[in-house]
Amino acid sequence: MTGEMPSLVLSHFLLTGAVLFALGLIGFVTRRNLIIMFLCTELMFQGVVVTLVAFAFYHGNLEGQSFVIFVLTIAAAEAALALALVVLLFRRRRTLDAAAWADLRG
Amino acid sequence: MAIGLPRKQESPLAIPPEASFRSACHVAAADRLRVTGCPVCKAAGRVLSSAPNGRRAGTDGGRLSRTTPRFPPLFARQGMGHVSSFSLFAATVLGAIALLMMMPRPGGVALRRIGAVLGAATLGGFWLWLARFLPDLGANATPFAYYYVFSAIAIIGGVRVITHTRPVYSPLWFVMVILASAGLLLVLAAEFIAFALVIIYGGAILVTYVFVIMLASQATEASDDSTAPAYDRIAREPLAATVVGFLLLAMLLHMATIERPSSLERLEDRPEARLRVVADSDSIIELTTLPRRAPARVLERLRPEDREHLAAEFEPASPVKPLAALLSELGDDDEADDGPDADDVATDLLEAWEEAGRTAAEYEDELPHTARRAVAETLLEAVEQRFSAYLDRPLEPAERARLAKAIADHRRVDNIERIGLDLFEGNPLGLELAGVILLVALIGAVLIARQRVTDETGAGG
Repeated sequence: MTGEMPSLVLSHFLLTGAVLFALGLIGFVTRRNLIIMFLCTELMFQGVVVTLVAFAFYHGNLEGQSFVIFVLTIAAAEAALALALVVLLFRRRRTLDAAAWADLRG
Repeated sequence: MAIGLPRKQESPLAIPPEASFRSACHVAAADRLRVTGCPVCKAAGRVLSSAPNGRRAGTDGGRLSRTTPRFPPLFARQGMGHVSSFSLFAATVLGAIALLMMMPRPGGVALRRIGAVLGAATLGGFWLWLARFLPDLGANATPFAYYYVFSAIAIIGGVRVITHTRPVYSPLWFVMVILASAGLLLVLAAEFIAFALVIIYGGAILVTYVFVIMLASQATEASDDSTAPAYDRIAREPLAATVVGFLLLAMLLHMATIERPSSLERLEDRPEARLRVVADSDSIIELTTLPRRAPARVLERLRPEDREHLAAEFEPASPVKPLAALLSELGDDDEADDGPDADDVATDLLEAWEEAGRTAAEYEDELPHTARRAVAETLLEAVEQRFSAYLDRPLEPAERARLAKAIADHRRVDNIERIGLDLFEGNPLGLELAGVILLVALIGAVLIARQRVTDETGAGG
């Protein structure tokens, strides 16, 4: 894939990745629903994935794409664990509000 | 007009205003400069010569006007120096305001609509502004149009994910983000990742999310947002979050749009090195499968004197050496003497190689895969012809097969194969670790979820 469609501009894809990442970050901070917060981390992952593949394209190797495989792995593992935790927390407090667990701050 | 260097602070006015970004960058490329700032757009373009004496650095006005770029401007410079910082930051600020207005808040429906309109206008305006460069791309504009479409969908989907007040809709919008990202990855020729993304995210992870949301959400009237729980209707610290997020975004965009040499130019900085690599390589097909990097193309963009020098020094050797070696092997039983004929053979093979390059040029407007395939086929055919002419007899099937194999050995394998090879040859340990992580996550999820919580339902802590 080296040299393939090189007319595409790396910066444009970095732009998209950065926007997705920033949106995920903002969403993670502003949303109070635990599930949506984790969904926003997935959004950040998306930004990273786009960036990684864009860099892989730019450098003409596949290391970025290989790395995306691991990102997907982590995302899947994170989703499984986080959602299990969320379900557990929901069963305790009957709410998805992150503020309900504010006492974890100590 | 050779302008002396070093000149780290040059007025942007030193460049003719009509000089297109493309021309300037091509001149810069041709002069083998390392341009760390676009000379046209960025004030005080930092034109640094990689040559120690910097004698070649110059932006000749005459050269600017007569340079006929073979490549679209965005090709020449894989950066967005043409995107002035002002536009970027203006778009960022407008987007931040729009997102802030769109944040969930009690009773702010009108404001949220205004925010949506403002955000759409910002995105559309920015896209239109970027799209001014589309015509310059020529035939390469098609995949780029896809970029704009998919990128817009992804960004809109992302905004909806974080602003929607109904939790069920956020994962659905996230599916849109996934699909659009997959489209972007397809544009980037990462087919495997694109489909893996759709399958794993859209098919597995998001389904889990929707399932958990439906499992854990409280009952909400379908038509009335106000019955939704407050933590879905009211954002937490929207102002601070938006400001911080968009500050981060502005910084990221600033970094992302810094000028960096394209892959091609990184080679062109030191064409000798590239050509030497090529000459030493035992892979001729690597050359032909990378038609845009073919030395002929690189040479084309050099100054004439450099071109002659390099051509004399490297070109005959570059594509020919591995084939000539193969040829001498094949011709072992032939009466032809390798020594005196080597030059002729080399010339012949060079012609074949250039022919393949011309074929690549014909297909330049097509999809790269097409061009690649055409080049490989042309080359195989031409090489076979040359070989049989050299041996003065038609190639035997065994020889033909051997030739094809020698070429095919270096042919581009497709994306999935390459990722597989890369994973299993390059990162076997990482792959194992990923498997272990998944296993641990599986066990952990089961362990967490099967704990029975019988007490304190609804009891706040």
